[in-house]
Amino acid sequence: MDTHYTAEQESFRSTMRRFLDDHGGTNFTRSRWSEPVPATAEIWQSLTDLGVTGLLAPEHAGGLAGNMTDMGIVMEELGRVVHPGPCWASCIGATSAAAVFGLDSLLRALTDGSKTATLALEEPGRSFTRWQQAQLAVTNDTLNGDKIQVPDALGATYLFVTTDHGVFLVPTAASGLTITPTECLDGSRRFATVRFENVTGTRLGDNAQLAPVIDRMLVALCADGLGAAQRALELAVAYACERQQFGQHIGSFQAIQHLCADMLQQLELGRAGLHYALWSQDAGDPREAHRAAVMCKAYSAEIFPQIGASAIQIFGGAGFTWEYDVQLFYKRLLSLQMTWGNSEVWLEELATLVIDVDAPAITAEH
Amino acid sequence: MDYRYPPDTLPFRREVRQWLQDNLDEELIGQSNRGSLTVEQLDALRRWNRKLADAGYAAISWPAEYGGRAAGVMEQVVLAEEMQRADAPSALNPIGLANIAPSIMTWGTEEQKRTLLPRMRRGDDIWCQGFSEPDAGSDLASLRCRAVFDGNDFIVNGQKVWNTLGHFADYCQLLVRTDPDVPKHQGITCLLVDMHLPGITVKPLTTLTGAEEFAEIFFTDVRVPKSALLGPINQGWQVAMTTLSNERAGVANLHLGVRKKIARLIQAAQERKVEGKPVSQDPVVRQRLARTYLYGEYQKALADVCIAGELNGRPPGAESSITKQSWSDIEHMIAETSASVLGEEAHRGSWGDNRLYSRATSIAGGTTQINKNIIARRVLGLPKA
Repeated sequence: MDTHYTAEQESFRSTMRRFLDDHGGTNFTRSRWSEPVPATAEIWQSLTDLGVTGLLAPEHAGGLAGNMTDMGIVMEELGRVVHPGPCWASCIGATSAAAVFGLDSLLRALTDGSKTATLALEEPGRSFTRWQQAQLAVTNDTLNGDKIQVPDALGATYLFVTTDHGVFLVPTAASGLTITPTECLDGSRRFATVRFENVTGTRLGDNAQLAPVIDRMLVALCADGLGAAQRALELAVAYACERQQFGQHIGSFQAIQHLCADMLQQLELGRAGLHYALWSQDAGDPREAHRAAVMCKAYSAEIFPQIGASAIQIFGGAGFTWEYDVQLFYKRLLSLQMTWGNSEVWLEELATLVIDVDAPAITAEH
Repeated sequence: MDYRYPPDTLPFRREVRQWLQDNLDEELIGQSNRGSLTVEQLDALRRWNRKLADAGYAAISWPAEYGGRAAGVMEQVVLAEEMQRADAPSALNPIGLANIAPSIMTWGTEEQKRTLLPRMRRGDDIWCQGFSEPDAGSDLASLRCRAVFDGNDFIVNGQKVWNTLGHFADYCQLLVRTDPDVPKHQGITCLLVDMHLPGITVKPLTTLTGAEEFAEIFFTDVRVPKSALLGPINQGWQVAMTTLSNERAGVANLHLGVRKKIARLIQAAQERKVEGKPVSQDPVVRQRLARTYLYGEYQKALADVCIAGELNGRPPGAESSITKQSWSDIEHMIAETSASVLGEEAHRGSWGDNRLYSRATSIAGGTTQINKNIIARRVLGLPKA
């Protein structure tokens, strides 16, 4: 039994951190803040060389056949520098979906970095948690309707689309398909509304087949949030040790100390739950993987943004400027809160899992 | 990462489960050793303690020479889980076994170890700690209860308070001021005091729940023999802070306790109807209950990090420093959620008691505010004022 990463995994983390720092860290994100497609060809190639694009892909598709605990490291590190780009949507979402449906040539293209893809799940006026009951209409393999909050759709070659007739694979170049970027206060993320007007697609299977993919993506999103929240706390503590008022470091004031201690508690509880959720995705029990993912998103979506907010508070006026990085983390964490269901809808999902059952309370230890 | 318990814990789990099934009497199931205890209840708990001790389960983390089984962290966790599962009362000297015994093992004379430890383990002697005073709470080291050594005896004068089980105690691990002229941590001495000595008066202290769970102890010219000294004179602070290296398993009890309460709340929410509908279908109650459940499960995840840390030989990290206060936050949350779920029933019986008792969780054993000071300085490295 161990809840920690192995030495080998930690050394991968160091490599990843060095790589992102060498590529400008948060300055890279700032430079791409308003670009419609934030990833550059150069950085995507470098991520490919590092093995990130193929981390979850099977070996026969040129991938590394890694697991979600490995991917958690990537996501935490991306979150630490609020890295933009389609890693979450493509390297986790589309790659896992392509593996579920056995799309080997797509897997190879995702792995070698030549293509990216994403998932179109959410629909206007619906709770994300009901994604399996998609209503986007399909007649004779022709799709009609809207999807919202589609991550990194611009730049993607393919979409996995949930519909009232299961999952379809649709090329973004298909005629009748329109991608409209959504305004978002977080310039480190890209979302779009995708409109389907008589778009032809290829049916892959049932919506429910994507369930493990969605759980993986939820947990991965929280891992990104953990990295961002951790960095926000580090910046706040460093600032509190350096900034002086009334002739002393503000970090010596109890009010600041208690705020920081609260942030640490929120962070460490989140880390404990997240790491369990990452491991659960690999452990082979889909129900437990789902329960862990739901708890993870419900917790992280509510609590991690509070860490970002507290960090801004500790920076005072400096925290409210564009210049200081702490705002970037707050925005990234607000994205986490809103993306694919907020805390309230996931708590409701948790309620259906643990309250609406005959024998409540999963307290049996083995 | 691997969250599965090592497979070699399974035989021990089976052994304990079977033993509890064979030995735990019906009337002891669910009997708390907290709150007011009658003399009869205390006797029953004492008999149960002896049974546990004789079967080798009362102090499994102790070294074998003191009657323990030098159990590692996983065995301790498994025992805690099985005791909780069976609703079995724990041994009578929780503070003695976990907090006082390590000091005796490390600093005690052979005589002290031989005479005191076996009786503590069996619950033959009940132990309390005499640390806090009316004016020395969070600032414990400012304690003033005086002891003057006259060559044979320590003559003790002063008052202690918040002594759990003090009114039943046979022994007290007492901290006294032996040198008032040095910095406060350096003039403290630790004594193992026989509570039946003349000059000791014990007054039960009624808590806000109405229970007589603590006591106040008054010392008036009490002659404590030299043999009661534990460790060197004026090093009582270090002596009292001694802990066993394998102590982290205790965190399991925190989540086991709260998760059991949460399970009961979920069941109550299904059963209790308002306007003909189960409370569990009320959207507001569902949110509160689901959130409470989530925090209970996260307390377990946090405990797993602590336990795995010990199992794999890592020093305690940030996770250990927040465990107590995150537990206390959940206890508060459960208390509030119980009111949402149970309505007026939340103010009766064990739920009412629980609601009031939850206030103690952020005070006893170090207030949340003191913990935050410590976390800010020691874990986060923030500067001292």
